[in-house]
Amino acid sequence: MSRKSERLVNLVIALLATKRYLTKLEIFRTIEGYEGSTESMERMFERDKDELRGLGIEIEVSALDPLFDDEVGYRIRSENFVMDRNGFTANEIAYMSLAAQVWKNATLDDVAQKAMRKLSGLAKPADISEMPAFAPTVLNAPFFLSELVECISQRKPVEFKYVDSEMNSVVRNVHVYSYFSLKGFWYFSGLDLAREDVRTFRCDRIVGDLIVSKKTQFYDIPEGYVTDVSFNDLGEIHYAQLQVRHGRGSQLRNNASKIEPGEEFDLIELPFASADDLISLILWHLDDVLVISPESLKQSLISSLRNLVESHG
Amino acid sequence: MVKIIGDSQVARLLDLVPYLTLNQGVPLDKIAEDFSTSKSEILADLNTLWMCGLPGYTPLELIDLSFDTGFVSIRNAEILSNPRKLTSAEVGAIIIGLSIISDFIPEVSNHTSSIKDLLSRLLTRSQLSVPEIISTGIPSETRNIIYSAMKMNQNVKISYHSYSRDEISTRDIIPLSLSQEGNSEYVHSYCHTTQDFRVFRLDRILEVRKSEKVINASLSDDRNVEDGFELRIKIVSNARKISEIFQVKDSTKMHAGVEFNRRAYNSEWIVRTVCSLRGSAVIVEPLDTRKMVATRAQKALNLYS
Repeated sequence: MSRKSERLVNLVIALLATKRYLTKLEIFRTIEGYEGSTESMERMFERDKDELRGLGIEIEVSALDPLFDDEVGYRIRSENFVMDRNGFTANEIAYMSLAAQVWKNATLDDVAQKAMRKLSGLAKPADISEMPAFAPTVLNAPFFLSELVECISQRKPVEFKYVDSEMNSVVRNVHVYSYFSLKGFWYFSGLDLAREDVRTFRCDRIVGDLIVSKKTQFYDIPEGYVTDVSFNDLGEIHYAQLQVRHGRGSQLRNNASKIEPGEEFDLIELPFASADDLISLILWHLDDVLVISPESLKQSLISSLRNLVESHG
Repeated sequence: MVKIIGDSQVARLLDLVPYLTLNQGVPLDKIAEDFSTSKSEILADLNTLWMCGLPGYTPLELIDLSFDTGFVSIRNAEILSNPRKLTSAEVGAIIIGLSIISDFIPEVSNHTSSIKDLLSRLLTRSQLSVPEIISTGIPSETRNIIYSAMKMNQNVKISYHSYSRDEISTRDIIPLSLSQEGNSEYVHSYCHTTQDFRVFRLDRILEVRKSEKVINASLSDDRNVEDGFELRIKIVSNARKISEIFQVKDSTKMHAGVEFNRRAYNSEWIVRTVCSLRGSAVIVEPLDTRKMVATRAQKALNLYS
């Protein structure tokens, strides 16, 4: 293990230090750790290259000159390897470290740790301990968050299983446009290919993995695209007249367009778009709320109450 | 974005060199802490690094480390002395982390614009996608006042909407710790008003004010959580909504017709929740809670007769 690490670090040092491309032969001859037959050294080198590339290290391969029967050469360019030292202020390094710490014990913990490690070699961060670091949002971040960011950034289509309102999982194919987090939930939006329309998906309703296609730059995000995070169907706004018991129903009062104080009950006018949502909210308040109008709302509420009495009798 | 691979020693060695160059004479313990690994692992790393250098591998070319005193310094490692570039996955984690932080800090803070500036530079460079919105729905003021009161051992005065009782009350509390359960955040507190430990949901705190009083006593809540009771619920329809509201663990098995058990602590919450589900969930057991739904619904129905 450490012999191999040693060889890999030596390879990185040699490829970084060289001003010209090193051929395989030069590498085998000069870098410590390459031993055995040419064939086994070749295999060793192939694996080493893959491993370094896996760490995000760019190994440049010289172009083959058709006029010469040259061997291919390798090097690592410092500008592709090194972080821009003058890129960040001490404060900015502190912000980035805090941003990485936010992931502690959450989805991107591993990745963030590695970022922290690199940043810790850049400069000593400024002291920003007055900033709160408790970040509950990330605890709910989906485990596929990295893949999600990747597919949006590189325009890769995704496929996943999503549960519908009756918990049947259905395969969806989506071109993801954006992602966001609201009130503890993570969502993404994009074009649902089967439905030919933009839909929003809640990450915790996905069953299993997000399957990211290998195709890149496969679609365009419409110019000026803005995610609708209101979750409202653009339905017509109606007004309900409700009697709400004094001192009760603050959820209803918060959204009221008019409140007329009364004796036992206050009269409240409330705008609403979805009758179903409003009925649920009114039912929550049980006998503290009485619907005056509209009549249809009142009738649905009464039948819901009857249903509850029956089913629980 | 590069796929996440397990921590490799090579990656750690490459990151160790710039870190040691910047922090000459750093104690071994501190390195282990900063690299979230054990001291013996770091020692093994140093012993490996010791053998690395430029081709030739004579003392002139090898990295020079001294660490036998427990303090580590490094020489002759110029080629690796600059930190490596962040991968796009790492930049991604930082971008999302920064977006989260900017939702937390007060608008007026002098960090706000610097963080925005940093974010936009990272974005242009990385071409990564930033979350459109990150919002916990909790005013940053609430979080910040509670957070600083917690650190300073101070009282705060809150106006709180008790959801299941549908009442608003004003309380003096000592915030003790923040936590999260499901998708909600809570502040565990000692409540002077009820003279007992209480847990408040952050998004139901309507108003919060600092009070200058400092508390000397250290308080900890070591009571047991009340036992609660076993609830059995039958799904009639809307299986997804019901499994989400009742936070059913293995939700893929939840379909219309299925019955499930759940531990319940607050029958008022159960009754109101089941009513708001309009018959798509029916309480099977316990019988008195089931009856309570029928009675309360009947009482509401009586308003219309």
